[in-house]
Amino acid sequence: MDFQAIHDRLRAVAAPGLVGADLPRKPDPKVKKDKGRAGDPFVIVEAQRLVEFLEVCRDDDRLKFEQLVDLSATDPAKDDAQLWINVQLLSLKFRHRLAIKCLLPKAAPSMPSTVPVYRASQWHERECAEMFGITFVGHPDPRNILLPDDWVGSPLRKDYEFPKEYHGISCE
Amino acid sequence: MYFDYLNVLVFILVGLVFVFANLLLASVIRPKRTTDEGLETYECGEETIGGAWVQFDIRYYTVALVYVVFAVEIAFLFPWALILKEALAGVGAAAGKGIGWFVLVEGFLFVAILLLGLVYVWAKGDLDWVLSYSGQTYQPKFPSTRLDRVAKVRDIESELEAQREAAKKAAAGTPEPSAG
Amino acid sequence: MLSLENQFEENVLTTKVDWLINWARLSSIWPMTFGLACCAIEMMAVGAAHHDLDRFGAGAFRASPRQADLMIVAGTVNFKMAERVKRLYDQMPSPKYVIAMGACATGGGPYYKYGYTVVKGVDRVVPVDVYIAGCPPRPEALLEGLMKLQEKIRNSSVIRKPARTA
Repeated sequence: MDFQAIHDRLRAVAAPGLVGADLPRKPDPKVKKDKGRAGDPFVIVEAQRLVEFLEVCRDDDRLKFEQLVDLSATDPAKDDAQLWINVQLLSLKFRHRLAIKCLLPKAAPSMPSTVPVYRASQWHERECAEMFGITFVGHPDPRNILLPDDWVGSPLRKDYEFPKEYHGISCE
Repeated sequence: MYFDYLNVLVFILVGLVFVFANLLLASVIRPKRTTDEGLETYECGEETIGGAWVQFDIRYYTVALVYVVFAVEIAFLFPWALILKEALAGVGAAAGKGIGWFVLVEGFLFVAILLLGLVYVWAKGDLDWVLSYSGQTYQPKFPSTRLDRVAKVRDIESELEAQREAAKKAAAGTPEPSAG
Repeated sequence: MLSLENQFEENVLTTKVDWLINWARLSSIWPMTFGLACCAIEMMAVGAAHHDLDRFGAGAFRASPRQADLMIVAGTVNFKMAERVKRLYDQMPSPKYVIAMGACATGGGPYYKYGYTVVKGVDRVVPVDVYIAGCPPRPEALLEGLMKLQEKIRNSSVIRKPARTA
């Protein structure tokens, strides 16, 4: 199923939280929003209803997305007040893929954890949590995965300040 | 006669000196820079968790015990073989005494008794390294992604094949009603 | 325990004894395997057949710091790892040496500007004897670094009093 068909199917089963979609297109270099994009299509979903949306994706007979390939986050710019969450799904049965994007406000980046739906997102969510400061409510193991346990700050945010020293070792 | 014992004494002394003179020399030459952190127990760079005196597995003990019995059996079989050879060949201490058959049967009897012991240990399961697991099996916190609903590869192929056939029939079927 | 270290004035006898002790030390430097990143591959190449490290007597890589003289820090050191580096360095017995191999161990390497978890040079954590530049340094460069370390050991004074610099 190509993206159009998947999008139609999602609308037909009234997948919860579906807000919109970015259809496949060639990126226009004049448009600022298109900077860095490749024109790949994605579906936009409300962050707080992402878990139900993913359940529909996983369980529906025509969609059957059994595998979560990636769950990452993006901080687009320092003055942008929102974070993106990017989810990639893969169907092993029908061999089609889906890209999902959610928006989270930077001031209160908190959303329910997708671990009950896809266990693979456990480590991905840990990484997003420590790198962007996103809280995944209901995550079974919310520790730091890459950074040391007492690291201060969210390094991949655009407004991150480098620490001056860590445990006595200078960071300059 | 006592001179032979002096040999042994010199041997022992040379062995000890060989080791301890080297250790002494090294200790005298090396720099004395011990630190408190340096004297801590090594655990691949991490801080140590728990003590080092852990309980060993009982299986090692049982296997070692069974081994000792059979090693001693082998140790006894060596002189038995020599005596048997002498008795059969007719030279040495056991020659000409007519005990050849007795020695042979005695040896086999000895091995047979110990073999019985081995069979007992084997059947009782004391030689099994991997014991059967009688605890709880692992229960994941969340149900797995409905693996019963993930189709097997053969099913997918046959389904796709069936779809293709249906599509072909539909495509081939449409001209027919207009002809017929 | 009596110690003969740095006890004697420099004369022909102690010079010869020192020469002997230093020769013994530099011909049997046993490194500890401390490959952290890509430089480890070059270190493995040095330990392998073509650029043989064993001909310098340094081919016996020890896994445990208790049995090693030399710590070749080959690769990027993170803050998480720096703690362990320091602890393992402490657990090595004296006399011990450190070679900082590659750009990351020398001064942070390519992560110098934006690497938030990279220690900008392992000499912020342990004292280093020899620095080897390169990203990664060629195996011959590591061998030259080792030979420089051997030079340093050759000139050190074990039972003689240390040389006055002024």
